[in-house]
Amino acid sequence: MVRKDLTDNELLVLGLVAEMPRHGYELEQLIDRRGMREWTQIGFSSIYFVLGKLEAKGFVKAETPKTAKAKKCYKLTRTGKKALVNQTMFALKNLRPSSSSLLMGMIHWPALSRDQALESLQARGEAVSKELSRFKDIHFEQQPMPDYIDTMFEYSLAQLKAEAKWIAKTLAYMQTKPWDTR
Amino acid sequence: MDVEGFHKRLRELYSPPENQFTLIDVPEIRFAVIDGKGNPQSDDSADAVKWLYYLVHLLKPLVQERMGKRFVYPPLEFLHWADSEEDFVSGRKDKWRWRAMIVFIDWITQEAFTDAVAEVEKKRGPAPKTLRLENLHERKSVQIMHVGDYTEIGSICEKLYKEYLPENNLKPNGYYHEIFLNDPDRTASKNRKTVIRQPVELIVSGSSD
Repeated sequence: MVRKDLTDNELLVLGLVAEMPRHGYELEQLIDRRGMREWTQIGFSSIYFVLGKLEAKGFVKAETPKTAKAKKCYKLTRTGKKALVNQTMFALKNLRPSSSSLLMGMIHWPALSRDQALESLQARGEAVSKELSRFKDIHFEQQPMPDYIDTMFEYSLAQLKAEAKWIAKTLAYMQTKPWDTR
Repeated sequence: MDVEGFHKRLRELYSPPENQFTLIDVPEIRFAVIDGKGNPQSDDSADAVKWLYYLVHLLKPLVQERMGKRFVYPPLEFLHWADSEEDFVSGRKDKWRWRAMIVFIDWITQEAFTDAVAEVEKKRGPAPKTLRLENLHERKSVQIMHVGDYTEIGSICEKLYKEYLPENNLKPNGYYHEIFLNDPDRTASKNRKTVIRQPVELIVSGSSD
């Protein structure tokens, strides 16, 4: 069965609980420490909301605290493990259409004057190179990391580099071509 | 250390059997190391580990280019010892000394290493004073794979030093060595793998006539 029955945030939290049983507060700290807020929309308070959802679906189980004061510890269930595996395979296998603002910009390219168009694309190029160096810094700061996380950083860096290359090539072309001035 | 030979022996060196001590001849291996004093679970050692991994990160592309898909991410290793054997055996960790180390394959030249250190220093300030490249040749060693909580290592050591070594007429011949194959932050304690290694030599019983 391959079905998208978990939101991204649910999948994220489920994966962290799968590593080992964890408290809600611990999850918050982890998400911060691993810089996951970089690429997810998970808010500070929504972790408990997500844990509640996962619990309702039977994917995690809260272990009853031994004392009244002890924090609830969430543990992966067998169905939770199945869901995690299914959903992770689905995420890896399938391309999800992600629309970049670039497409919206390029599609309306003729609406701009030459200067406006070239200037905007140039600005995007600068933004990309700034993002590249910011990302490299994070990659460095977050060491050590397991190999699969390391390759994830390499993936994002490769994407940014590809965009930088495309921008350079497109800019060169658009700058050179005779411009229709009306 | 010949890199090809080392690569062929990775499994033997880093994946010994569980539940039984085995003897192995460990070749000379080069490491980047940082020394420290006191409890190995201290902030100092965490800082040392971070430093070593910054260097790994910067030098990785160089090694990966040469090794291709045979490149393996090196694990964190620790040597432990104490000035008095009593402090070591009794587990008084505040009196221990440690050496955090990561394999830095011979292809990494001293020059590339020095450059990487300079680059990390730009971001993180001065390097730890004891940071250096160093060869370690443990030779004949006893090792075992422990899968489980780090707190259980004490009882394995007890078996090693009080039973296995004397029963086999062996004595320690070098520093006690632990290799951590998992990130404790991402691995449940029952699944954490640790290689426990002790270089040894035969006890030569009394001078023979």
